[in-house]
Amino acid sequence: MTPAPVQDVVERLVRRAYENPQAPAVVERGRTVSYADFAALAAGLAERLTPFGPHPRVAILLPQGAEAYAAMFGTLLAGGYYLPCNTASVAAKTRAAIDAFCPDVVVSAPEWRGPLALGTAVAVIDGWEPAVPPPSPHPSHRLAYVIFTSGSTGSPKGVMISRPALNHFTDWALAAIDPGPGDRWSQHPNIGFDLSVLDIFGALCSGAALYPLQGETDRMLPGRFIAANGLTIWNSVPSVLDMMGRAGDLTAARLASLRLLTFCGEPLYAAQVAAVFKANPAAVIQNTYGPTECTVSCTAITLTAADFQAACDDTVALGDAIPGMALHLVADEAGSEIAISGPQVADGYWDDAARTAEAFRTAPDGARAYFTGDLIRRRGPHTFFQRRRDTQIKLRGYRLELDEINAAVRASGITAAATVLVAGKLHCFIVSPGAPDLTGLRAELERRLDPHAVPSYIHRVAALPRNANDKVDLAALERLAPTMEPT
Amino acid sequence: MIPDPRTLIAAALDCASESIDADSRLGHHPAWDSVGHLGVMLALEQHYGIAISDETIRRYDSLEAIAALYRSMV
Repeated sequence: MTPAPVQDVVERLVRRAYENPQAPAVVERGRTVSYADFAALAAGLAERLTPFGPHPRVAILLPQGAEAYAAMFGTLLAGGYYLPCNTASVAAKTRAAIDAFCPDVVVSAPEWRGPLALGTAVAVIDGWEPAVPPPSPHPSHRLAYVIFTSGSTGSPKGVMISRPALNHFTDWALAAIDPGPGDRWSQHPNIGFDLSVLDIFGALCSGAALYPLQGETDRMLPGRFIAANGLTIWNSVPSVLDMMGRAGDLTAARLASLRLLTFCGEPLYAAQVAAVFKANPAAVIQNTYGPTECTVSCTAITLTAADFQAACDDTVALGDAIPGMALHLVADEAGSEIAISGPQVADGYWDDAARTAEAFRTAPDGARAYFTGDLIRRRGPHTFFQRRRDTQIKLRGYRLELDEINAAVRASGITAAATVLVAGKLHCFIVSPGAPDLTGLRAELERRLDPHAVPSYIHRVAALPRNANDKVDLAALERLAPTMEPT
Repeated sequence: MIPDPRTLIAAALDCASESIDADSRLGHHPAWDSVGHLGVMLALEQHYGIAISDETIRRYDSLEAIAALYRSMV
């Protein structure tokens, strides 16, 4: 039997606006945008994109909020595809992504695009008026969005996610989370991080209300934000729970309204789960796993206060593949690597055939798959993340190639560099013939790298230690890091 | 007894008070990252009675700014 066709995200939004036009779609500080107004905002942008052809290529440089979300839906409504840019990222990185993407138009506002000095060569939409949604979306492009992640050469990789992949993921999210009118859903990850896709399309395709965390206070104290707004669904990287814990906010008073918490982006620890259930035993936790290259996530496991320990050791199991997706374990001398196949696998990396061929290969069963570089271990029926095959790390949820840092250091005039993560801090070891200007180097790194990627410590050494294969001995550097004088 | 700024910041960042110098601020001390800044703001809320807001999160992001606040209180 042929499976039912998956509904398009734009059609879902238009239906929600038709069924329940006055329901809240996006609730911001001091403003609530109804579904009718939100659909009109998306339609207004789609109209403005008409001069750019049947498939406009759109860069969206706006903070989390109704305009950014409407720009996404508006671009898809117009038959186009978009690049979501993180407004908190450093200008050099955002500019590099926009230059690589070569958009027809940048949807932004002067305060966000000003630092990028885009010039007059690229068209800009700084604001737009609502319009009546058309009866049906324009024919869609193959792609839905291109999202840039850290790259080991120093140049980021643009992951090309197709419209069918986005529709497949959204279809799963709606079935697994069952959101709807009355749900109040957090929007914590910035729009340049693909975890935000779950919030934006999960909420706005289901009739739930989306609550972006827009201010520094909300982001610093998310537990207070949950309580103040009576949120029912929370989605973030697990390390946000550590922030809540440090603020004393993992309590019944803060978390009582939540019916579901969903996590992705880094290992979820059993202790974090236990703390949540202690505060709210009636809640359900969903742990998911997946790289950006497979459209947000492609496994899931559901935990309750009664049964979560069976799926935990230090961390929570990754769960099973969601319907339509498949996990393949490919073993070699390094361990068992996860490769993923199915309709959510990306089309490849933007304008980068070499890195696409390297990462998107054929699985043992002949399927086209993304080879994640994630090595796993098994315990009974459960699969657990073990370590990376390469030097990619997750730091407070941010995916980061340590070689991106090393490339930035070398681009600043340093002969050799190697970076390791020890106890949650980045230590960068540099080799420099003379006395380096560490203040100048740090300033240059702050210009090139996002704040989370700037090393906490920079150590000057005479030479980088090498292993038997003449590779930089990162294990030796990890042992050395705690013994170095702070610099 | 209200702790002095250097003692307050060092305790919040869980580091030695000698490591806090005149240039210490968010992003310019190994322990003063976004998580460390949460600790600093909670300490300011608890010991100096400062309400945490977008404005105070931005304003009190350095030893210099917190020292100025302290001087205005004592």
